[in-house]
Amino acid sequence: MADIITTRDLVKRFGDVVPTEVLHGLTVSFEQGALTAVIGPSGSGKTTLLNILSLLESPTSGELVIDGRDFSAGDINAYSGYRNAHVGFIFQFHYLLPEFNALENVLIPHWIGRGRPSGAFTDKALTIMREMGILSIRDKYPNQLSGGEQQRVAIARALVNEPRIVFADEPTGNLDRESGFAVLEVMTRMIRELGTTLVAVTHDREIALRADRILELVDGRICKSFRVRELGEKGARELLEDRSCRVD
Amino acid sequence: MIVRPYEAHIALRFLRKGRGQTVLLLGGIAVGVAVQFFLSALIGGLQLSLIERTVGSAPHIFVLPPDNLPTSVLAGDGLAVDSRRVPYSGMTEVLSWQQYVDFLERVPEVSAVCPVAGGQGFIERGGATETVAVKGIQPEAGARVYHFDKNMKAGRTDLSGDAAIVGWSVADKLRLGLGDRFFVRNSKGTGDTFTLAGIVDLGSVQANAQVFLSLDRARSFLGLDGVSAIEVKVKDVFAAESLAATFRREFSRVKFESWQERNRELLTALRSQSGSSGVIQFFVLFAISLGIASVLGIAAVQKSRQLGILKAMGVDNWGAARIFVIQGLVLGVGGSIVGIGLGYVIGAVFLRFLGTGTFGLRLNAFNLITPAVLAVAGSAVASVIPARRASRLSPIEVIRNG
Repeated sequence: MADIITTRDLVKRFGDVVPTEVLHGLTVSFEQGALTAVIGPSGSGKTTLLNILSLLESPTSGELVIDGRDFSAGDINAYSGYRNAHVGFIFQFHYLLPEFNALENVLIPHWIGRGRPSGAFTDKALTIMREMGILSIRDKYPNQLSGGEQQRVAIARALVNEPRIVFADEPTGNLDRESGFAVLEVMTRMIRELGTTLVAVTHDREIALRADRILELVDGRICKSFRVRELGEKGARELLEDRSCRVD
Repeated sequence: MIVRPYEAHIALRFLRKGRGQTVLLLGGIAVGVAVQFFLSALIGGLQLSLIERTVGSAPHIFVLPPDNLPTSVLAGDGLAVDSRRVPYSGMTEVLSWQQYVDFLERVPEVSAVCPVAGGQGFIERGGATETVAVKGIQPEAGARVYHFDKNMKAGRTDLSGDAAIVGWSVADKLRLGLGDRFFVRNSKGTGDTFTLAGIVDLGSVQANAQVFLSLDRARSFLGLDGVSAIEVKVKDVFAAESLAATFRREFSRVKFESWQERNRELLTALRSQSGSSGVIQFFVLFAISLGIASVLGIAAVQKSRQLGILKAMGVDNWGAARIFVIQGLVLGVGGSIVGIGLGYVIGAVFLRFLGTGTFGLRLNAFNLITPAVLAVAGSAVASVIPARRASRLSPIEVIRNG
């Protein structure tokens, strides 16, 4: 499979008076259609990397190419159109708009990019909601939903425009373990069905082991990068327990 | 401003879901617009009524003899100055008045032209005497200038023979009835007897202290060769001053005086009234705008999370800003519509229960549209502050801080 995202010497520094470098020249690529879990301890730079890859934040220096297009420099506002058409977001908190019901929330990305959704598009959104088991709550508002339902609606919203890449930051971090796994199950199934690339940040190794590839960051550098299937679940677990770094 | 469908969709939903806040804002704007509309309609009505009372049944332009005309101070031989001669001569009549009448009747902006022979006189009846202004007019032209059709309280416009029309207050004082005969004496002591054919009410005591005779009778009564003035009525009362200035450029041997020149104090008072009303209206609008800016500003803070995620999903900075500008515009338009209705009701109630009944509301397009346009513009300007905030909001800050 070809790479959909490529970075070269990606650096991110915060602060002007006392600059803090969070990412130290990362060079990494992400395969199209693959599910990659980015893990690492707090402060390792995984969320910063996700924000840069998802065009919500600009890198300080280095190269970022997505789908053959160079996004290394520029104002993130200029990439709004690309984000709408090709990128889906799932955050730890659902961030649903409380003024809109579940179906309307799912349709928001279409409203932003292409205007009022057609009947056919609404049917498509309803199909996604059915497959995610949330069709019955289509008319309910976010404050009437459980945490798991809210996160499923957020996932349906991320997928409705059939994006090329979905970025997820601790997608089940706000849910109890049971609901979290159920949501994860639905999310990975849908993403695989659509052939979408997923880059998910998680601190949960059990969740990471469900990905195709694991990328571990430590202090803003890649410490481990390996394919789960090649090592098998046991090998992958052992490697995750190992404190030394290994990059395939 | 090009509005994309999602911007209107989200803006309207924000307003609908924040119903209580929206109703309060709409109420605030509506009250502001109502006050503005009511004030301008009421003051406009009052001013119109004052102007109508002042000049409605009176001429708008007077063609008068010049105050002074230059005359030669040279002696008969034309070589030396005769110190006994004064360098000007005062005139009390317009002699070749027909040429002015002919000219003025052809001016499209003029609605009536009436040559007038005027002077002071005294009506005597029984033992009573009343000072009056004697005015000789051409019946048809005079009727148009003084609106006899509308102002005739009794009788009719008949100035033939010894018929005369008398102002209402004089008729009342002297207990004159239609068909009564009365004696009018001029300032030289001579006089004549007339028959009352009509009683008019011209709106003010001064205007009603007049006796109207036929032009020819009045000229011989007052001993005039020409006329003492030509009175002109124009279609647009406020155009009188500029028309008078135009006529002045055409004729230099007579004086043109507009009603505005004769009523400077009234106009100054009206202007002051309009000015103070404008100041009140400005501060009302300012207060409304501050209210909208403050409430929408709070809304922008409250909705930071929603805006952040919308920006992450592809709403650009301008789109986020327009969501708030649209809210401002919707509030402005909605508030204005309600406000105009409310203003009309307040005005009607005011006139019904507190008004004097002598003036109405001036319901013209200007009074109707101006507060509405100002409120919409004020709302749009007020929405700029939250709009700027929304446009500058970084999605990453929202996502990072929850």
